[in-house]
Amino acid sequence: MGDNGSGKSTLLRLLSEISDPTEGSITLRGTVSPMLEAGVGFHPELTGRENIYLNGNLLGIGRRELVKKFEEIVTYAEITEYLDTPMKRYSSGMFARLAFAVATHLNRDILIVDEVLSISDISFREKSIKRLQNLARQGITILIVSHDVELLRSICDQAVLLKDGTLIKHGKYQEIHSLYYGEQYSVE
Amino acid sequence: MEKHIHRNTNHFHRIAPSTIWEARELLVHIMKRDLLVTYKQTVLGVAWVAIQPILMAYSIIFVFDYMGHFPDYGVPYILIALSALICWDFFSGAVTKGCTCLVDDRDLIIRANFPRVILLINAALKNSPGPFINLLVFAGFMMYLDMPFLVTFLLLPLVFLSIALLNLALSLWLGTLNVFKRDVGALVPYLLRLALFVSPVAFTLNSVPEQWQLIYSLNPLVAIIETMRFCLLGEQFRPELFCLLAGGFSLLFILLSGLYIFAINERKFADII
Repeated sequence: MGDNGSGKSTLLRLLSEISDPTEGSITLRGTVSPMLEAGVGFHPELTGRENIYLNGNLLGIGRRELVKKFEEIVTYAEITEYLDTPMKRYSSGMFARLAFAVATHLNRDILIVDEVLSISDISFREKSIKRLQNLARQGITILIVSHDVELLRSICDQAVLLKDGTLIKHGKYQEIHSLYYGEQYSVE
Repeated sequence: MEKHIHRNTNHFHRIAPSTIWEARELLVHIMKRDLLVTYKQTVLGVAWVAIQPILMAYSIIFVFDYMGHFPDYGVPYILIALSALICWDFFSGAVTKGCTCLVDDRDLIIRANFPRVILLINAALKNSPGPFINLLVFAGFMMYLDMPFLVTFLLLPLVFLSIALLNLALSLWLGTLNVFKRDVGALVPYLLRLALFVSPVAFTLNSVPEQWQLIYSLNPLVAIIETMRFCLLGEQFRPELFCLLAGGFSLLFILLSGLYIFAINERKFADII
């Protein structure tokens, strides 16, 4: 959590090894999805099917695993009938659903989620929160950046508060929540 | 599995062949993406790959056959021009793309972690079905003009490999520089136009004064185009050893220096692009 410009996305970039740290070091225990946002690399001219493979490859997933998960991803994203339609004809909700589906159906120990659910409709939103909760129960670490309080409350147990690129506090979600939002409300 | 990420002190990020090998599927998908996207919403589709060099060949014939004079090599001039144009087309398309490919895929670079050299390899192979379609066109002309097909045809993969390496070498240089200063992108079309005139596309190495031939051969395209003509048209175009050595040497130099320039800068791309 933190204000805009506090370093949330920078932290995620460092963790997914997109940028190098200028000082200090990071220890990762497990495999990380090497992608910051869901749907990176989706090309509007390509069909949903082509984009799933391209996006999956960007996540470092081989063809064999993708073929195995393909059905599951498509069904989950509810785009079966639009699979061979270029993505430029997709609604923004379909786009977001497919992006979310690919990112969360690939086996990673640490899943990085940067503001993905902002444009989904209510039913898919609930479905995806459930999905994230399920993944967390399976032992997958979910690292999420969001200003969506309800979403955070439903999946996080730990939280980190950043400000101007420094760590303010790390602790239980509830504690950090009241620290961050409490402080903001008191300013208002 | 535990992994440590540290501050990168030496700024040199070695490009391991194994990482490229592991990312081969990604390369295939990015190539497919570019090919599909280039010809979507065109009427003629992939036919453009073949139409472009034919149009260009005819414009060259027009200039030289009807308006100027050209030494007779005992081979129809269109074949001399077309053999070089197959190389030139592959080369110029790839270098144009190579210069801008990193910036074009900015979104991927700032949001995903993958070996960036993949983008440059993709650019170096841009339109790689092109040369083969061009070769078919060429074969058609040869049959029409009743020219014999030579055993040296079998050396063509080597020629294409050299062009691809040259494409990669220049893309490493231009692509990397373009990330930092976009002036490079503005300059490249002019550099390519200059390169077209100083490469033996519309003429052959023999048209260059003897005392300049060695220096001229430092342009790797000279050896490549001359070898191409040798493969397609025969003995009278056999390149001299000095020409091949000079071209090979400068190709190697550009490639290694390009790899170095790319490697020391790769990790900065996401922050600067």
